[in-house]
Amino acid sequence: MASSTSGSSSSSKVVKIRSSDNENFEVEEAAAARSETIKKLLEDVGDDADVIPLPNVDAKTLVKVMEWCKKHMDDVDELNKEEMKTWDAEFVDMDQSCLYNVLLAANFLNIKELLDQLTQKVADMIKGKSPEEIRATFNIKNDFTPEEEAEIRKQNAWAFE
Amino acid sequence: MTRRGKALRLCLVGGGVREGERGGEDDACINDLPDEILVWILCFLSLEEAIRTTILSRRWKNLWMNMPKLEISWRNNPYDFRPHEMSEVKAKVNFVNGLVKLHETTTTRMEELTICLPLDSLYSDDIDKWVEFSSEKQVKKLKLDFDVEDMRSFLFRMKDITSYYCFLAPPSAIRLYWLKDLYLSGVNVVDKAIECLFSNSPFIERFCLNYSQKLHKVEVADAPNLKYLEIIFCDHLQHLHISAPNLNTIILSVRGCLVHLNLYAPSLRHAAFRTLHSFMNVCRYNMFDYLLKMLPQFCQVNKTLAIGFSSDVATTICQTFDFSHQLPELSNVEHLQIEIFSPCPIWFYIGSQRLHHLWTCALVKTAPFLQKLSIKVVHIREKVKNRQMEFQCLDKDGAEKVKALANAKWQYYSHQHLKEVELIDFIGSRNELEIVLFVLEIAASVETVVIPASIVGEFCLRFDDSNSDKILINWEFEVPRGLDLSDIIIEEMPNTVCTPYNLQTLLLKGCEKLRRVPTNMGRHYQISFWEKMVLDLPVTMSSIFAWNTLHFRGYLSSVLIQELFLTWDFDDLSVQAKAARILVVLLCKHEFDARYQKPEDKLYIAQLHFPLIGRILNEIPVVYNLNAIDKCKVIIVILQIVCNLDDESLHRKPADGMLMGSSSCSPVGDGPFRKYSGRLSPAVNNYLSESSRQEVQPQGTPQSGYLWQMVNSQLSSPSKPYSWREALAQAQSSRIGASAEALRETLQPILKQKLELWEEK
Repeated sequence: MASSTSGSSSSSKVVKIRSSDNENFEVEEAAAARSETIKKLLEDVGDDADVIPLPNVDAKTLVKVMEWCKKHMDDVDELNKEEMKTWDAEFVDMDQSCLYNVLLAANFLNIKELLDQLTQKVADMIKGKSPEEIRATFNIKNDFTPEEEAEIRKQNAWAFE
Repeated sequence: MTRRGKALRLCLVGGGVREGERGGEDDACINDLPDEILVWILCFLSLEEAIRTTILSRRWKNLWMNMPKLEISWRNNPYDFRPHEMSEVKAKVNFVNGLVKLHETTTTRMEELTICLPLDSLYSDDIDKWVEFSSEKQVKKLKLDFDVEDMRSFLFRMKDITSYYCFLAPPSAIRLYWLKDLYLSGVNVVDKAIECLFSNSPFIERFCLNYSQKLHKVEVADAPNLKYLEIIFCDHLQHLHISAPNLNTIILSVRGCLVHLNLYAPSLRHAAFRTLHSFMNVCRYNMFDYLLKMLPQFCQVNKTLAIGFSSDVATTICQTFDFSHQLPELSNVEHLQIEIFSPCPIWFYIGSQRLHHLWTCALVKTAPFLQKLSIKVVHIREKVKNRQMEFQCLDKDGAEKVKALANAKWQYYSHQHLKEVELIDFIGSRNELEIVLFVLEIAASVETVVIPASIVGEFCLRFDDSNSDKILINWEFEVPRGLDLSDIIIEEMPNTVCTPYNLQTLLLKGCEKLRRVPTNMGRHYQISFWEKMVLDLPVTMSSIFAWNTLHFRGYLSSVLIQELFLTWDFDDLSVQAKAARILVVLLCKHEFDARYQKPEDKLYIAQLHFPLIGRILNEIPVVYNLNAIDKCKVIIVILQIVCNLDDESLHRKPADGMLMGSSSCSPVGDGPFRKYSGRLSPAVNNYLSESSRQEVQPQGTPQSGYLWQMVNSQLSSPSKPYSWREALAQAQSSRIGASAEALRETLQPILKQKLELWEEK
């Protein structure tokens, strides 16, 4: 039964999902199935799935994630690759709290490609910065004592050059 | 209900972060992300940068050590040949040592360890330690490449006595039990070591061994999981016995001495066997006999078989080869790839004797189910220039000779399955040609010949009509339906290309240097040749524009336009009308293509099309046969061309050019740069507005509506009573260059005459 639902009719089928703050969304199945987690659930419950609750994702984040899924619903051909790249670049360009929420959601929903894009984005924010700059960018509090920090620097001298 | 319950339960398994732990929206912090995500982020950084994050906070202190793979590489650019300095190497080794030391304090496992550094036996102690470390960490994929610095001389390298001795050999007790993938390069592996490896590491799936100079004999009797085996340039290897039931791919490159292979691999799908430029004196051996001995081992291959030779080896083979030889049957091979490396001139001549390389075709005969044949000529860059001589090589009756030879030797043998022939880096030399001719002669069902040339910039194919029968393509034989010349640097194409009647598709994608197409591609062949492009209108234009890049723009269309004008000489009215319509579409496409709205493109297009105006006006009867909308389009496009041209030419200051760009994109066109469009005679304005009225009728297409909008706005600027003719004349005189001058001379009288005619309307 499960396999038949993911077959030819999947393009127009709609699934209902519910966010942690109890908002319901209707999403095309093909888009929702970008999430391995949802895909698996759909396979398990089959046709008579009612609403899929996603207790870890709030509505605002879910909208964002589903926006991405919709865009990436179909396979991209060569012509659209450039366009997709720019779209992706714009998509990941969001404020940090939003970024982390989407990152967590992507992790939970198991959307590998989105996860990669987001982590790449964070890595790009780290690249080429001094530790002080990284702390400032990400609001990380330095909880080492000065002695500890010196010790670590000494230990890792080969990496700090 | 039960189903729903299940769904809920499954959902909650995922983990994630609880609301309470996460701070408010404002003080969102990266530290709130779970470790797995942070580690994943670190994986996108360089190793140094990842390690530097230890200093950020306690949370980050040991995070990087959870990274599943570590990669320590030498310089990024393998072609950067400056000799390495000891201190630099030393620093890198210390780096790895430090890393290993830190890592030893944790118990996390590691998936991959890659170390690519120019090291030799001086660093044996360090390397041993690293291997031990990877054993403790249960590394699954280990890559040790100590050969990195020697890329430049890989063909002539013999010094490997100093290479690091392999950890694998007894009495070393290191067991890499979890290993699945091992890559060793520049590591000296001794006899028995590989046997040890396979008994110590039962899960091994991939094994690559490059440049090991101490190896003479390999016997692998039991490797149940081995899927991929690569042994390259182990110059002293003489015996290779492999028994691997699941082996999928084997790659074997021989250089120093002849390997005797004994292979049992029932699931082998891909095999590559290359005998390269060797230090041995190849003439001492009978290479053909060797080939005969090796081929039966590859009968097990059921998909792709690549056989490669350096040109000296190939030469000795073809000296021995005789068509009466019986080659072992390659009964399951579907794709055969023959590779010839560095074909220096010896590939064509030995002394004064010409060599036939047709023995490669004998391999085709041995593979009855072959579907695809690739012939790949791998050039060594410096030698390419020596190859000019080839272009006079094929005799005038070369094709017949080959044909006769094929039929005489093989009694009209015909291969039934071969569908595709691919010629990689084909440059049209005598030998290559002969092979192709021969293959086409013996293979009845070839459908496609693909010629992807990948060497660029060094030389180009030059076809010269005067002796085109001597060079590249002499299509006197039956030709496949499609010919793909994409990305080949062709300047001109000989007429012979168009001779075959059944050539329907010609792909010229990326042939940027193409300047001339065959003259006989004209009227008669044009229909069949350009069929797809010209006669079905919607498909045609889109296909032309789908190909193009900006480099390509214009050229093809001007060929097309020439052809169209030729067509106007026909008596058939419907053909004339068709051609005229195509012309209109083409002009419109160029003029209003969204990609060509930059001023420089506009200028280019205008310059390209300007001479056409004269032709169009000259052929008024033809244009008259069009319907009103098309007529309207013609005149609009002509106006556009005039606009762009004189604007650009008169205001050549860069700042003006910029302004021009913006105004030509937006429909607000009454700036000072729109001079000449504003000076159109009232008669023309009347004509335009009349046709616009017609356009409002239902048959008006959206595109013409758009055109109209563009032009209309320009016409709304205050109009001075200049005549169009004057505008044209001025525009022309403002063009620069001798050719333009000449053009004006020839055009002017006709223009005057015709313009008057137009204005009367």
